[in-house]
Amino acid sequence: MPKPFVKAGTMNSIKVHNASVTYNQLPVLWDVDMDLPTGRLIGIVGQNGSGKSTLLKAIMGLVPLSSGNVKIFEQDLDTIRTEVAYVPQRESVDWNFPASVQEIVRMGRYQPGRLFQRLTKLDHQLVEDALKKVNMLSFKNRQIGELSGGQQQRVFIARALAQGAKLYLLDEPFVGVDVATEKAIMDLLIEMKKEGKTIVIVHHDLHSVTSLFDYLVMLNTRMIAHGAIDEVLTTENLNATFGGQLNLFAQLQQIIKERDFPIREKGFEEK
Amino acid sequence: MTYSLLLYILLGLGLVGAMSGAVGTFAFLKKRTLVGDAVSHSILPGLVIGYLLMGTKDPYVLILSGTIFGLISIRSIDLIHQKSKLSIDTAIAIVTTVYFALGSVLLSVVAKSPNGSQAGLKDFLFGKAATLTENDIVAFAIVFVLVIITLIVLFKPFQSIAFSADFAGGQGWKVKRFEFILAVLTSIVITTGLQAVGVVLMSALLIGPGAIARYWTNSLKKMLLLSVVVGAFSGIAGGLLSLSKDNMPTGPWVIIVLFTATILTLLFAPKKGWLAIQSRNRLNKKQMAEENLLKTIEQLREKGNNKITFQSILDQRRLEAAVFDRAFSALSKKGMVKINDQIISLTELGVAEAQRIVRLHRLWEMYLTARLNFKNDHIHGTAETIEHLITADLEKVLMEELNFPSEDPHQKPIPYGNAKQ
Amino acid sequence: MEMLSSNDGLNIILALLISWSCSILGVFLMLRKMVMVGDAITHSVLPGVVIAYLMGSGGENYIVLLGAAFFGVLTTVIIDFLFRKLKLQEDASIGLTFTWLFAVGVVLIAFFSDGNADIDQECVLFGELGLSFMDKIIWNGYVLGTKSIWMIGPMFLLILILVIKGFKGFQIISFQTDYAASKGIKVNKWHYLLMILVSLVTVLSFESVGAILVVGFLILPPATAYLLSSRLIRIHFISIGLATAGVLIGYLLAQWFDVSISPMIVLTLGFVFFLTFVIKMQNTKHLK
Ligand SMILES: Nc1ncnc2c1ncn2[C@@H]1O[C@H](COP(=O)(O)OP(=O)(O)OP(=O)(O)O)[C@@H](O)[C@H]1O
Ligand SMILES: [Mg+2]
Repeated sequence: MPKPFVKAGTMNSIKVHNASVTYNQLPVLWDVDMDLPTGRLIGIVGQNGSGKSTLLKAIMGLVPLSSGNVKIFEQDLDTIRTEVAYVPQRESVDWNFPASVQEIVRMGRYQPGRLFQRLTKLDHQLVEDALKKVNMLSFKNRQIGELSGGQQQRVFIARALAQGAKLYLLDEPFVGVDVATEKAIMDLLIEMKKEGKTIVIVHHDLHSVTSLFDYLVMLNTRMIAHGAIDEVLTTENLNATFGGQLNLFAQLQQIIKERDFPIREKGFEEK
Repeated sequence: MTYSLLLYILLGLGLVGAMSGAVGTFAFLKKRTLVGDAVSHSILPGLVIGYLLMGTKDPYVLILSGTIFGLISIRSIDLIHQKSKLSIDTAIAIVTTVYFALGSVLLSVVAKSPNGSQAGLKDFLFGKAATLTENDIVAFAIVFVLVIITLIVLFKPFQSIAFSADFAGGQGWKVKRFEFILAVLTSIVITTGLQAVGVVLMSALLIGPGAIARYWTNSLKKMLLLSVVVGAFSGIAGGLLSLSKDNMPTGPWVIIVLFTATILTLLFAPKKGWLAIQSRNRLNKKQMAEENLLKTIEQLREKGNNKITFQSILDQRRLEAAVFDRAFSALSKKGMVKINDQIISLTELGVAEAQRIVRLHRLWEMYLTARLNFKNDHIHGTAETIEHLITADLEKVLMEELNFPSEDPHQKPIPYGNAKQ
Repeated sequence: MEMLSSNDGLNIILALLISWSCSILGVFLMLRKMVMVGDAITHSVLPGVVIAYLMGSGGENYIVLLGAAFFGVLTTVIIDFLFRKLKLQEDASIGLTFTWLFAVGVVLIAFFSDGNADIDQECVLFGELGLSFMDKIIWNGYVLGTKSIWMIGPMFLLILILVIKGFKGFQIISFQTDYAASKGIKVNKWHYLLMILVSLVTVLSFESVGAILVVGFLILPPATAYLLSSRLIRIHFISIGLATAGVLIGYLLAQWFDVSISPMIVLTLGFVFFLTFVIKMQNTKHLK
């Protein structure tokens, strides 16, 4: 598989073009369009239900797109999956699942073609390194339910690290995490950024945005704005992001749902 | 079989179906129907114990002992789920099989007892309507009346709980108490129904009527009523089918009737049914095709083309010939387009309608750029869809909000016609 | 109590192979929270079994297996179709699908079973483990097991090999389906593999334990083991151990009290679960 040569700033890490996603006919992401840079710490903000998780899922190909497409490092996801590490939202985890910290982090090394093979020495080494980086090596035999929220989050970050990706998509990694751990995780992420990795983080808390990120995506079903943080963090954008849906827009959303209207028409293209 | 006995049996099955439908509606709304499956299996040991204690199949004793086991099983499921890390589906499966195994062991004990073979307890497995006695039917009727009265008297709290237990609690209802009453009703109904349809398939009689009713109405009262009717009908129709041949169990036939009704509902129900969805899609397509055709003609006119032919339209847009034909004849029926010597033109009505579409398209593009910060090269795709969806009310809001712009973001004129008044 | 005979030995071997196969699959069903779908499959393979019987082939015929796999997959497909496409809620989709398929099976039996003692309605529910020794395979005077054993035996080995070799796959899709899919793992393939295996095992145990009790074999040992351990591999071992003990003790008890065997085994497994649950109840941390 050809490894893409990725240098900070020279190409887009993620390119989302006119992407729409509907759940039960209701558009929850509508014509989202964005080019994200490489080598940055990128925050995605928006209120509950604004489609942040759905955007990450759309990027990872986990939900079907009703329109548009996604490119990662200017390639299709399938050719470049090993370069992308995804950390789902906390709620998707069954904390009772019978697995130790180490077993979870090993999953970072699983790949479709290698599921029937043993993990190699290198794999085990990478797992151990990742655990060390997040300071969880001494917990490696704990069941994941027996950890604090911050420790749990670190395990999942270690799993992403173990994968050795260039692009990281983290869905609300700071939920249930205390301030000290948040700082520790953040330091780690900043270090990763310095190594040229691109990190995209869905984030809830607007207060800490400026101190955490240098690039921001503001989402409210549609894309409100994205860009360098000091450029996009305007009152107008904030209102549009957190001030609820525009009435007109919300009504159209409902009409689409009620009438089962396709979000993109097919077969009438202009020539 | 005498005629009156046949009537009796069908009456019994109708009663069972009706009360299952009524109680099942609540189980369905609370998404607890699989608990019903567990309960019906768990009642088996209760029935056998009731029989062993009394030595006969006395319907009242059986209903009582069965109901007790039903309640125990519901409690067991909740306990396992709440007090361990096991999920609800695991808890249900555990309770179902363990109680059923207990019942089976007890059954094999009864079978070895002197008059065990006459006990007919095995009819509980798949139900055998032909063995119902007059005594049974009377018991069914009594239970039916009790259940219906309870549901009517306690309709309000049950309604709140079905909507959401938290909501009901907020309204000041003692949720635990009413949930218990509902559990008692469910157990009684299942126990009663077992004679008719059997352990294995009883749960379907709880699920089916409610599921069907849900597709036809949004009101809980109507849903209950419909569910009762569907339940009664399935019971009677299934009974008739099963009685048509000797040695035929009743339960499976009732379920086959019910499943058929469910499929028919899923296909034909208004709004949510498959056919309704298909026809909505067809209408959407038809509307899009017609409006796109009008719009294309208008765009050609804008360009100064006054010899518009089929070919010039097809040069402009990708349109399947059949779709094109259908849209065109629909539009000429509506008196919006004319064709003369292969030259296509719009009537006055057609011009107004075509301009409306163009206007909506361009207004929406304006809105996207002016209000939603879209870039100029990303607005056309959405507008292609939205132009078909904006209602007259929304159009007014849009025009006023944008203050009647004269051009769209691509500097094309926005035609207003008479729309400004 | 009389001494156990060699026939009992054959019955026990069969029961053990069934319980081990179920135990392995059950652990993953439980962790995937798909026990109800598993339950549904055990019921809805019935029409496949009946049709195969009616076509004149006994339970040992491989056509039965194909039929089973087909109906097993069909069940999950219908459930998914009702749930996702026609928007019927999930519990109702499951409940209606399997009762319907089961009903069709029972009706088929009732129609065609007159005089055909091979299959009857009760057998479908309870099985007759006590009679499994009847189809003995004898070679040169040596008993080489029974046909049933020779069917489920290879099945067990297949499951064992698949789960050992594909452990990572089953583990990751059980833990986090979305994450597995994000790595490009074909979640659906693994899902259907599991469902097909469940169908096959169910069918192979139909004659001896029946449609409902097989769910007990599938879920009771795994659930008990899950209460006792929080490591996946250990859960598998404990579960198989429990299944073994349950089969042996249950079989002896059934002989002792002269009652049906497979219900007694399930009851024993249930009792062990009950004890474990009561002991573990107080000191469980709640993470739900
Ligand atoms: N599987 C689903 N089926 C139906 N609707 C869904 C589904 N998943 C999400 N939604 C809906 O889509 C919308 C967007 O959900 P999403 O999870 O992307 O929001 P979010 O921005 O991540 O919110 P949060 O901050 O709560 O995590 C919500 O309104 C949600 O209710
Ligand atoms: Mg989210």
